[in-house]
Amino acid sequence: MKKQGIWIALILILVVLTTCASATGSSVLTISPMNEGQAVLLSPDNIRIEIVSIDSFYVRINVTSSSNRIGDTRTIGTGDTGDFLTPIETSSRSIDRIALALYGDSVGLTLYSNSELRIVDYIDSVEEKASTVPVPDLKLKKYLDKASIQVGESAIISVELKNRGNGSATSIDLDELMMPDGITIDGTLPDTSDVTIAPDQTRTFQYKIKATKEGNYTIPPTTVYYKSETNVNYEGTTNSLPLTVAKPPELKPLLETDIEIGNLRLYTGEETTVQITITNNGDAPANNVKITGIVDGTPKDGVEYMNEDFEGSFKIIAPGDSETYLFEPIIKARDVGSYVIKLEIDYDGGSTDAISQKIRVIKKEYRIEDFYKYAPILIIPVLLILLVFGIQFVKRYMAYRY
Amino acid sequence: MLNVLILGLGQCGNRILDSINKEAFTGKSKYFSKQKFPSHVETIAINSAINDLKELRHTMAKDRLHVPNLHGVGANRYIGKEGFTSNRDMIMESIESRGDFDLIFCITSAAGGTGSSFTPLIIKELKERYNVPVISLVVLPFREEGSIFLQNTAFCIREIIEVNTDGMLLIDNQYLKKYGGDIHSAYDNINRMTAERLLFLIEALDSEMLSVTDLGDLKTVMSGGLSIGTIGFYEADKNTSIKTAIHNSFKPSGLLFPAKVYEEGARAMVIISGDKKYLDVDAITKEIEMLSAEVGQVFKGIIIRPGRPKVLSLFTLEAIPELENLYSLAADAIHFEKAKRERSKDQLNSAFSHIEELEQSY
Repeated sequence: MKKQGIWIALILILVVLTTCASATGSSVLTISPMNEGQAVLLSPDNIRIEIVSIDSFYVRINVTSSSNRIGDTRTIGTGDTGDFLTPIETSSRSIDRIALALYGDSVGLTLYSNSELRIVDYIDSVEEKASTVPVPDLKLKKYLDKASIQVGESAIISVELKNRGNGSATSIDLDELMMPDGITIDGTLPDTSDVTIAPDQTRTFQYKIKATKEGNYTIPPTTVYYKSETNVNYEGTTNSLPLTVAKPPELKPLLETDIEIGNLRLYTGEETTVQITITNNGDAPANNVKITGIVDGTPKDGVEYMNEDFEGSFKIIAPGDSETYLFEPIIKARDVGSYVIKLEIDYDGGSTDAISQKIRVIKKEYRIEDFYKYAPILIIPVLLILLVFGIQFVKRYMAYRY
Repeated sequence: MLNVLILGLGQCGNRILDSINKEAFTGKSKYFSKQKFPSHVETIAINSAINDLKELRHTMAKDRLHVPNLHGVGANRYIGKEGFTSNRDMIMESIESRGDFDLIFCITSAAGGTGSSFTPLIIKELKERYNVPVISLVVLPFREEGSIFLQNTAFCIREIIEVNTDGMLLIDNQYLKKYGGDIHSAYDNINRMTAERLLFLIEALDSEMLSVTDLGDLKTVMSGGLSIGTIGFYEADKNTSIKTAIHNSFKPSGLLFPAKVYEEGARAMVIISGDKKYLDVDAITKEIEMLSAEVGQVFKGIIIRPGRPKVLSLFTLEAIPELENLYSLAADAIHFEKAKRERSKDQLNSAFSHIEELEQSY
């Protein structure tokens, strides 16, 4: 019982220490002892830690990274804990403590950072290696072309890779975690195997995702694996993305009716045609469209239908299409009055109605303007008659002139 | 169809001819209608005065014949005769170019210069060339028109009779002036009445009649008595019976010359036209019989035409007292002229006698 308790306690201590370590930096990296003038390369962020000087009382280091080429020089006392008042910041990492372990002329380092660091290489001589080791350093960014889409719609994911290092990145591999339920990759991921991104170059890779369910989603980060020219492996992850998927609007047909009367002003006894045009301005087809109509007005029975049935039908009117029904002649004016055509249009799942402009029936009154159109026809025989009379007159006048 | 020639001679004859042409248009415009002559009628206006021909309105230019080198004859029949003689061939050629005729009328004033002088000569020529009746319509002047007109009248009538006209119908201005207000209206009325009657007569001679009077009947009538007669006319109104209409047509009020038909009539022709419903044949016959009993031979003609009855009566007379009166006046006129001329001549001679044996001295 006691032994078990001691083991449990030791485990607990370890866990706590690990947690504490995690609390101060989520990653601990131990670096082998190095002499003055030597350096170590870490990834990501192309971090180089150079041992500038070793003293019995302190060690001076210079930390450069892809975001800080000049370097951040720190002096760590040999008896210090190594905590920094201000952490050493790189693009994606934050080193808030470096502990020292002196071994004569060399010093071992233990780095405490907020995220995992890896040793890439050791540089025996800073002067010798600094100008000859090409290291790629990809800055990753992921974004969507739309922040919200509807069910059934697609969105384009772009993954941007910017090389901030001094070496080319090769063998690039994009690795997507599984999409959340309701989102699928529409197509395939782009092929990046032959892609090389040179220093300062940016490449963007795109692929589509499709929403199959409504909801609020987080598109997970993409992990990017790549190698340096010296075949050293690197990796990085992008940001995640929020995406809202809305329910698609219900598709409905929207029928709009236009009633064109041939002649809105009729004299008694005259006839007119009626043309009905139905346009589907909705986004779903209208099926089994039936038109029925009446002529309404005062006095009742002031017009008569020339056809038996004032109705028509169409099997389907697709979205964006129009159908036209021409009734000719449909109505004949009998009595003076005012009338309209009222239509009811029924289709599967709905109905609508329409009413025409007023048809006025008036008593025939001849105005001089009604005969203007005959003037050209009448004027010729009139002129001919006048000419004949004129010639006759002249002939007779000459006959009687002495 | 009858072929009729109507000659209007001198100013008076021209005007009556013009009235005939106007009546033939039946009230319509001459520019846009045709003359409705009952038969084939040719008209010629002949004159020595061109201005008289120019004033005609309803006679075509081709139907106006000016005798050249004369500008009127100044009521002098001697000048007129000379003028006709000089242009006889031209005048007769103009007439002959119109074709053949069945009946010829010559209308003239007896008192003027051209008409009164031409007419006897033309009738003579026509009778030689055509074997057809030539009837003269002679207009007598107002008695107060002057001595020359009276003497012209006297000699003209005599000469027309002497050339054996087939009849003379008299129209007396003096008798008819009762119809007009002013002189112009009076002449117009006389001309119109004459035209109306002549056209009615021509139509009657060439129509299908219920009871026929034809050209032969006319010749017979015109050869009766003195071969001098006149025409009467009456148009009935709704209150007039056919009997009264007939009777009124030969009353003095209906005649163109004052005559007492019952006493002076030699032969007559009565032509009645009208709707069947007005033409009571018995009444007509009875009235004609009464006239016959007084006059002698009366030819009756009935034409069915729409409208109220119209009656034309044509008479020849066996006695014309008015002519006697006219000639008496004419003789007085001649004497008067002669005496006046003598006086004038004496007066002139008396004036000349003052220089009888004198020479001019400068």
